[in-house]
Amino acid sequence: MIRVELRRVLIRGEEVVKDVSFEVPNSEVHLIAGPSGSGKSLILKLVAGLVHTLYGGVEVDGEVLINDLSPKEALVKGLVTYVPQDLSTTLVTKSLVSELRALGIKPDYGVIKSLGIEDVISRDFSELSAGMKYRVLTALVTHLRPAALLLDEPSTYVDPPTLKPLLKLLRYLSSEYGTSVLIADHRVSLISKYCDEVHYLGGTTECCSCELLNTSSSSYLELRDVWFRYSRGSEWVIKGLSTPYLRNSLVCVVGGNGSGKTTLARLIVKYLRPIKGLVKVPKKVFYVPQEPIYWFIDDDVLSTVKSLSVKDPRELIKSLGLNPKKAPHALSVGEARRLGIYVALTSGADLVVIDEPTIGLDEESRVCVKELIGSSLESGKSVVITTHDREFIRGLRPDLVIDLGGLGG
Amino acid sequence: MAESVTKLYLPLTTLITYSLVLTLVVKDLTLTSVLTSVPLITSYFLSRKYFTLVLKGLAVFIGIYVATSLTTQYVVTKSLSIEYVLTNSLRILGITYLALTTLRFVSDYLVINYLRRGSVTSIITQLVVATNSLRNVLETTPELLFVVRNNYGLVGGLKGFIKSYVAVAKVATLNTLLRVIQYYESLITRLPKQYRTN
Repeated sequence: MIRVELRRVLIRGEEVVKDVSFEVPNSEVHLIAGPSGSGKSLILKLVAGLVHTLYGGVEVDGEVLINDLSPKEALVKGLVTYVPQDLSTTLVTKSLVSELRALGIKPDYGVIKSLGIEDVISRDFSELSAGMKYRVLTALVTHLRPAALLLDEPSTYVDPPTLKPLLKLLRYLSSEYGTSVLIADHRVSLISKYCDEVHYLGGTTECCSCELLNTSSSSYLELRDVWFRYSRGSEWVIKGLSTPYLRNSLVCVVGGNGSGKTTLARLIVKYLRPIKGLVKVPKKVFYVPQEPIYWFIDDDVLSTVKSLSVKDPRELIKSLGLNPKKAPHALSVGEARRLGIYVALTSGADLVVIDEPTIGLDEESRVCVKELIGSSLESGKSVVITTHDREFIRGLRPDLVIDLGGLGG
Repeated sequence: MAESVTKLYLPLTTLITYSLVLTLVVKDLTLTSVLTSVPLITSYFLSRKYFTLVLKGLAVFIGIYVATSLTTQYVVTKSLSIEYVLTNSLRILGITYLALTTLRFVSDYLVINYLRRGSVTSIITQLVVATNSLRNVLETTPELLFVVRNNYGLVGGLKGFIKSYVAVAKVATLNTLLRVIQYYESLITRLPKQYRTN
């Protein structure tokens, strides 16, 4: 049983959470939903006992209990397990199989099969795609049979066809072993049907009505018979891909986890060179990578926005709802992603490539990003987005959809 | 267990022998080249990603070594012994790579076999956290450098080159700190109880 009763939580004097209280009884799955920066991840970390253990400068007015123990006691007794949002984490050993062996746990092939990770359980964790990493971590934590299981933003990395069995597995785990499962996610419509209760956190998202920089007249994109693989002898990731010559267009690359979306984004921005074929793009390309999330070089949000040449820095920061003096590394994953996407789309680049734009975005921010994509196309840009989320591209009216497979219908 | 022992001792013995031979006995360039390339090629097939990463770092170091060594020789003796410098470069390359590979095998062996018994001390766990976080940051640094240079327009010219490297060093340091915390957060809730004390 998880019991959360928080009057307010302050980080270095700034109020992050206010008046949140709920209970997750044994054998139930609950969802905490709310916009980016509303404190979802912080609540999970509080429940996991991580805030009390690892962080300074956090003031908590209220109480959190797990099976009537404080979070720190529950952590020490091994009652809580947590899957983080940022998958820069790795395993202690190389693969899921060796990690389970190190922990003295026999692999449960039913769990492994239900998450569709049979082929990667012996593979080096660091070489897996983000979606695969999340599935492997979920498989690992379900093997631990904890009293409280916490998952941060599963919908961010796991593609919808896999998210369903993952959530079904969590339901099974909770009913079979009495585990209290708490998920923090912004995709309420997708996840709530597998949950017993949804707890909403406050906060609103304002869309950006800022003025965009016009691009030069050279916003184009063309791929000619592009082939790519990471090493000789390995499988081709991109096989003979061609596109028409596109000007001032929106291209959406869709596909399941590990289908090669990030590889294609890297080829388009010329971070990778094709083994065969040709990639034709303009000189001024802005790239928002999936990883690293924090790539901003300035000391605060305002300087970051100013140095990335947007026309209206104050308006943009206001619409992001950020403190202009805040350091970029102090932003939440969702806030940092929105900052990156907003500056990219409002900059003077001819082509903007965004790898997985939905990472960390709540429902309202998704609408705002879609609006901004529309505006940046009007300002003359070309935009390429890669996503596992077909729902996101609905209503965007892309000029071209490149389907790399793995998502089903 | 038998698999782990073979995994540990076979490469470990080979690596120690190689290091000793390279350091103490061999003075010949051809033989040094052969002795360096064999374990490097073997390691390449074991972990290509790790291999490439280490080689990139070593290439910069050896480049600096070769340049300074040749300059020093010329200034002091007014002559150049390319063979001497090349032999030493290969030694540095081989021994550093072997040392890192050994460390990897040792830490893998310790963790896999002693973690659940509580015999891995918290220092080793923290070392694993630190090295893995560093490895993760090093792996993402080339893409970070690309993103910074591309998005901030720091391409072309010495000033842009220096500025981009300074900026990336700063961001990568912050990312490392963040990674250590994030890695620890995730790890501490997955480790057996005896490791969850602080």
